[in-house]
Amino acid sequence: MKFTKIITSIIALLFISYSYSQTYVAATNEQKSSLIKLINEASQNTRTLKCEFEQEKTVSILSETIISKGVMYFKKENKLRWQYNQPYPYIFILANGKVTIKNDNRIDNFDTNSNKMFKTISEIMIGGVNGDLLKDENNFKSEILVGDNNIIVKLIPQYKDLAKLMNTITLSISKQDWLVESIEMIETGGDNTLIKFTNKIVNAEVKDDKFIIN
Amino acid sequence: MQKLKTINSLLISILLIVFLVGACKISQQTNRYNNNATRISALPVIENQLIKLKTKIKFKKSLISGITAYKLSNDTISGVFMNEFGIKAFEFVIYEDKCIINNIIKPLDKWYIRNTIKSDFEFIFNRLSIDNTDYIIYKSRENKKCFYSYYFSENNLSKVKRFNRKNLTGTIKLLSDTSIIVENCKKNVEYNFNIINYHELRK
Repeated sequence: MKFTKIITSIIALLFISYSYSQTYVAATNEQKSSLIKLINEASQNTRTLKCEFEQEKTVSILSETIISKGVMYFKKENKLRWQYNQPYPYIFILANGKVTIKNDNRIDNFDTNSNKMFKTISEIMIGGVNGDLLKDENNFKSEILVGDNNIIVKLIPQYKDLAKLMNTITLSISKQDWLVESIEMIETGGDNTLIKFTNKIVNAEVKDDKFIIN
Repeated sequence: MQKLKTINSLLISILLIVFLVGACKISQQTNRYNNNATRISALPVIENQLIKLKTKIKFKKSLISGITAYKLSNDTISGVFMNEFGIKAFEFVIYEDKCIINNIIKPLDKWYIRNTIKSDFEFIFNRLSIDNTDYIIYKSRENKKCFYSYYFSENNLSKVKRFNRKNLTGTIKLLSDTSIIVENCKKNVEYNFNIINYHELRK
């Protein structure tokens, strides 16, 4: 009985390490265009997306990870509600070129074009969620690596403002639904932020009031 | 008249006793300070603990919010202030009450912003060396440009004030066990810190 348990544990461990250590091969140009086509199709068919996310910020000076959690709602074309529930409530809404932030009882509104920081954050978030970053060849140099279960897209920012902040943005895209599973941003200073998306619900009803804060 | 004289001498005696007891207590305090020092600060500074604070920095009408995370290790406080999305605004290192600001984000990388954050973080994270607050109602600490006054209420730190040679330049108000407000009166900056949590550092 004990022996069976040990064997089962070994098999389980092997399975887990196999799934984490899947090998990635750089996509050829042909593969690249067919993969982009698949991602585009998935993105075009995604009218709404609702999911949970976990953000892990690794700070090198502290050698620690700071975790935040929340929910995300996306609605075509460019509506996004990014809501942190932990460690404290904080809501970021992007709709019609305007950013609304609710922090405690304070509500702030910005025009994305007037605030470079929010413009960049919005572009990465929306582009990461719907895969648009991958198509943005003017602003990102990209490399695609193909694995068994997912593909990894490495994006190297080409425009100055973002390049000063980040070395690489890595998207992990599931081969099952061709949607983004995680976004990893590696900063120039060596810190990194990993955002993992879970419990994705595609094309469920997302009402417009999700993108309004009164 | 005689009664008035008696009251006067009684009052003088009481004042003398208060003064002598006070002097005695200050002297006891100084001795203890030299022998067995502990440190008091407005924010928790605990060896090998990662402390996270919800942070708001207000300047005029603008507001920057995010998380300040820091640790104390080998008598050095090192930490970071980042926004909710994980974008780091700056790092800070405080050793022997001197603060150094590193890796500051470009929009904040101006000498006057660096200097303001540096002096305010020195003030916020300053640790007063004492071993017992029982007798202390006021304590000042000097450095080259300013001094800090510590105020206690029922043996708990309630307020810290920063002065330059002439004026009040900053105040730390401890609102509760988990919340402090820091005002830089000279530059009109307000910091609002709320403790989120703290836990032991990963080994």
